Amino acid sequence: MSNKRWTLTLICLFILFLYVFIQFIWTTRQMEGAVESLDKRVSLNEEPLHFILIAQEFDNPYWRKIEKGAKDAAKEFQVEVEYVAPLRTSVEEQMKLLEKAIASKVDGIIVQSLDEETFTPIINKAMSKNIPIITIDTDAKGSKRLSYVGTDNFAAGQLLGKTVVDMTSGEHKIGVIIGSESSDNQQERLDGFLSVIQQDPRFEVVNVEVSNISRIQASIQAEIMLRKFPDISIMVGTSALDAIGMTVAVKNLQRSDVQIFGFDDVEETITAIKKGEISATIIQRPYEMGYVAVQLMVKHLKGQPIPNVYFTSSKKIDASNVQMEVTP
Amino acid sequence: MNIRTKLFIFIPLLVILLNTIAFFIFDSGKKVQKSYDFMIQRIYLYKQISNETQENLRYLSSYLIHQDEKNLNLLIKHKTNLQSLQSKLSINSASNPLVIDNYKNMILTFIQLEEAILTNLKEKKFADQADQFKEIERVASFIQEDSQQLVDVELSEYQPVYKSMLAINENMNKWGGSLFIVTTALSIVFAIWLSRSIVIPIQQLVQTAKQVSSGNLNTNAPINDANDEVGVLGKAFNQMIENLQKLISKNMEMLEKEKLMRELELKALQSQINPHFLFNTLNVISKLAYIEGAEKTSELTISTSNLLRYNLRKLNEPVMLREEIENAKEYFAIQKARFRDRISFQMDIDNDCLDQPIPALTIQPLLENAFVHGIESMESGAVIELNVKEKGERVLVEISDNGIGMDEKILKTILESPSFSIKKPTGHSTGLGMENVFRRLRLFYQVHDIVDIKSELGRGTTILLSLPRVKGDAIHV
Repeated sequence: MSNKRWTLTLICLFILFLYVFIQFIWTTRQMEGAVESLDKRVSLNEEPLHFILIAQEFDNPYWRKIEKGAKDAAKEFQVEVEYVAPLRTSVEEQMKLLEKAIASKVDGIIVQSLDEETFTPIINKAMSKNIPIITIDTDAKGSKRLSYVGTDNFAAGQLLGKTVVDMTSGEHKIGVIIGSESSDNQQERLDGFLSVIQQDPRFEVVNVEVSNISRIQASIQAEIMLRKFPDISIMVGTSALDAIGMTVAVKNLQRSDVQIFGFDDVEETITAIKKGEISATIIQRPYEMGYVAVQLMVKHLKGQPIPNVYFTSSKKIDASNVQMEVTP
Repeated sequence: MNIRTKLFIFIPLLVILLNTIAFFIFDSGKKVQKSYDFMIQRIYLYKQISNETQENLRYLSSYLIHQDEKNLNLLIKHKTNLQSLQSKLSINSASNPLVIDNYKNMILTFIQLEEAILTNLKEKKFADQADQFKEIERVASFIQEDSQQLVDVELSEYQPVYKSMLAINENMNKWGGSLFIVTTALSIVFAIWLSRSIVIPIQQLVQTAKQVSSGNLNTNAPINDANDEVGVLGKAFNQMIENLQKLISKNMEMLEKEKLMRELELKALQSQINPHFLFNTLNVISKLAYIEGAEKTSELTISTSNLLRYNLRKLNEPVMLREEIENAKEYFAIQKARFRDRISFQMDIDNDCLDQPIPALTIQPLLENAFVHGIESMESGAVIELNVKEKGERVLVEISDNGIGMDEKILKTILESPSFSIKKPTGHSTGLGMENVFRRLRLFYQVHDIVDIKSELGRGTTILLSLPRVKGDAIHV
């Protein structure tokens, strides 16, 4: 081989070498980059206010709406909202989450108090440690909580009563199923409902049973009730799943003459209204609740006074306006 | 660039290159290790916190029971451990900073509770102890739970990163391997390239040296790079070859000169049967002729005697032009006696030129040539001219006749005859060929363009000797 060719080979090899070398270094860089993505350091200085929203059930659509409201408010007010909840409804779990939140020294807690008796002492403890607590959806009236944001359950009960009055004619016997006897909001809804019905001589409430916020329980109780009082022609449920349980019982007993009124806008409820199986439902404003709760908390931490109770509105949904209300 | 500089630059360059690569490969290995360390360390930190919390709780409870120094010291030690672990947490954060924030605060709550319990114990307030212990236990359980959760979260977060790391690692191995191969090939080619640039010129030089030593002087060492050592060697070698060639050609000249002289001497010897006897006889004839009143015969005899003496002198010493001219006159005198009025002889001599050294027997042979070849056959009107004059740095000697002349072919053979050749002498001559005269002139003056001959058939021949001017007797043969 001539000198020229050797030189050419040398140059070619050198170029090849440079290419491989650059590739190698680039790959090494990539390796660094891969780890760097793990090592992103979040500066904890000047961290935003950190609230915890403790829900009833993690994947409950109702609570998801509350979460969305809260998160939107968080974005607006530049705070952080952490959404936690037991996977399935459990007072114990919820309590544990509350205690954990207190131990975590968060800046504010928004919690549903499923059981006033168990929650009150913990809420009081948190308040004594300067962690403000706002109850949402369900209140714990006896505690030192800062504020309550939720439906005016008595008014919602009244709206339910009025709906029944408006949508029926003639005399009727009414069977009622409530979610829980110990829960204030269920009691208030019942009271509100009764306050309207009892003024109308056309109606008579013959029975009140408890479903324990369970679909199966609701359907069992409804069935028992219908067998016991076959002349019931209107059934009313005050918690989210009662009305659905009732439709099952009505189907089982082939009582198509029974009119059903329910609460909340669970998907099945909406479908049943479209099919005509449920006459109407009273819906709450979960998005507004979440939003307002965060807003009030921010206000409080800024030192502004906030109301002790903030009621969100409720609304009647029946076949006439169900299309517009399909879960926002 | 000479070989020394070449080696000084290229070998360290190669070493640096190889070291750089070794460094990068080493460095990349370190980076990979660091990445794995980084992942493990975070998981390990959560586990450590979880364990340390348990230890704290254990020593706290045993301190509450025994209330002794030993447990207290251990407790304080573990508390400090936990605190330092907690502070380490702040520098790295998982995907959800809020979770870490909570976790940190929980540990803080734990430590604060611990401190509160210890203060109460010091101040002998035992009332809240049970409640506080219950609470701290609960917080500890939260910490443990969250630790586990964080480990899970981290692990699931690492999964894609770990996968990509594996892929990158494999890539790195691939490129690293190719790098090794390419570098090795590069080094080998580089070594060959470098050694070739040094070895090949040396080999060429060796080849040339072999040729020279086997006797072939018509060769040259090729010189690629005039500046490097081999180039210098090659140049010196070529210079040596050139000198050798010059020396040899000079030797050859000397040999040729000697050969010519020997021939001249031989010629002289042939006619030198018994010179003294001949001289004496000629002198006696001359005297006798004079006494008898035959003056012309006497003169002719003296001329013959002189011519003979001149011819017998030491031939290898140069003579002055003057002597040559004198000799020519003697020769003419003899020829005049022989041809009488058939020829006329004309001379035009510039006396300033007569001190020019010249090889002996230069002009007479040329004149003889003119007689023999030019005009011998002419019945009458033959003219021979001998002119000497100066022209620049040369002395011009012109011998011309108006005889039969020569054709181009003969002219060329005479002028360009490359080497000396002995012709058979023709009857009347002293026997020296023109070529002999010309060669001797050229060797004597070391100049080639000395002789010019102009000739035309039927109109005569002119021989022009243009001798370089030499002062005195500067040149010896």
